[in-house]
Amino acid sequence: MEDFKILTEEELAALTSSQRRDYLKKKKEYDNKALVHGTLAESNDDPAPVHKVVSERKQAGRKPIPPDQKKQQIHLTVEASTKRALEEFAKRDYARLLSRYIDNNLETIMDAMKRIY
Amino acid sequence: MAIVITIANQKGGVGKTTTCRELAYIWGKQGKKVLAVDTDPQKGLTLRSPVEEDKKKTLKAVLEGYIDPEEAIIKTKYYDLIPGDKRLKNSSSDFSISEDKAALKDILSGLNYDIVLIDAAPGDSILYDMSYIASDYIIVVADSSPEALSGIAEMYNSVERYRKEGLTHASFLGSLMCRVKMAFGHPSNLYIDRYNELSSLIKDTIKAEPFETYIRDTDNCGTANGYKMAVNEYNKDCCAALDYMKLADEILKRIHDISGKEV
Repeated sequence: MEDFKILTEEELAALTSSQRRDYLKKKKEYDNKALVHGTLAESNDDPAPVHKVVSERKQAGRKPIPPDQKKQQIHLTVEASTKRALEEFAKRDYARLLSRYIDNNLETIMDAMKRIY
Repeated sequence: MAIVITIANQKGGVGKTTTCRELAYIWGKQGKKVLAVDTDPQKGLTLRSPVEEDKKKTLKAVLEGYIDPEEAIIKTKYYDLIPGDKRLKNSSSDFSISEDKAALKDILSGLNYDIVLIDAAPGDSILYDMSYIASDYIIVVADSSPEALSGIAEMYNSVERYRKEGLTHASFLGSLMCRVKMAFGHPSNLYIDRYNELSSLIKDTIKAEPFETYIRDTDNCGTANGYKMAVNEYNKDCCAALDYMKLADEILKRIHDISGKEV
């Protein structure tokens, strides 16, 4: 299978939109061919692709993640990102409310500050 | 092969985005696979949809060839969305009419949907040309303001030019009157002549019959938008919700009558 030149970010940025879209299309076709080509090449001698992925992980010294642990990891990731999002929202909302309060009560606040300071 | 419909008027604020949003919701809820594309730099459709945006994965990035359309598509409960991008306001300098006018058509042709709705940008820009070329049908939305008519003739001429060049087979499906003022449940007398006059003028320009359905004016639309809900979701019994349900059926019937296609 012919080689496909993967462009760097700088090379991509130098192209026009039309050239980038063509590149993306060709890259997708190449990736699909490589996937098929890879699967076809393996199927003659090796086990099915799923087993190949597991054996690659084993070869790299990494044990396959058990399904329960994987579920938990995903759950924790979702929970953490949701919590962060809610905190950010709370901050923004509070800031907005505070800003509105200050706008509506500026004179009162200024008078109070004068008295205090 | 998807049916691609552009909701258009070069004047902003006539009801394009609300119409696009409602139709996407209604058809999606009816079980059709719907994709909405937000080409408006004001991103009205994106902001009114229940989505979390990724500013790097927008229509602009897709049109510029940085990402695949599948990477930009956000799924909502009833329809998918390619989100808009405020940087599209520079589209006339970012894109070339000669190289990029068929970009949106190429992008949409690779996707698998029943209906694609394009929320066209107000004003005149290359995004409009992209939308016309990508479309099978164009629906002109108007309200009672005089400016609602401006640009419709140019729109028609552009589409005709692209048809003659063989770049599109888009045709005008009809015009829709939005924000029709009511008095005691009927179009207000003050406006009815105006609506009829506008419909007639638009019909003469785009050579397509206005839709029988019109969308009545209601605060429910604005409130629903604020909650990022379709008006059919927010208050399905209000006049606009009922009108949009009727419109959704009328559009599909008209498409079937013209093309024989059942969606």
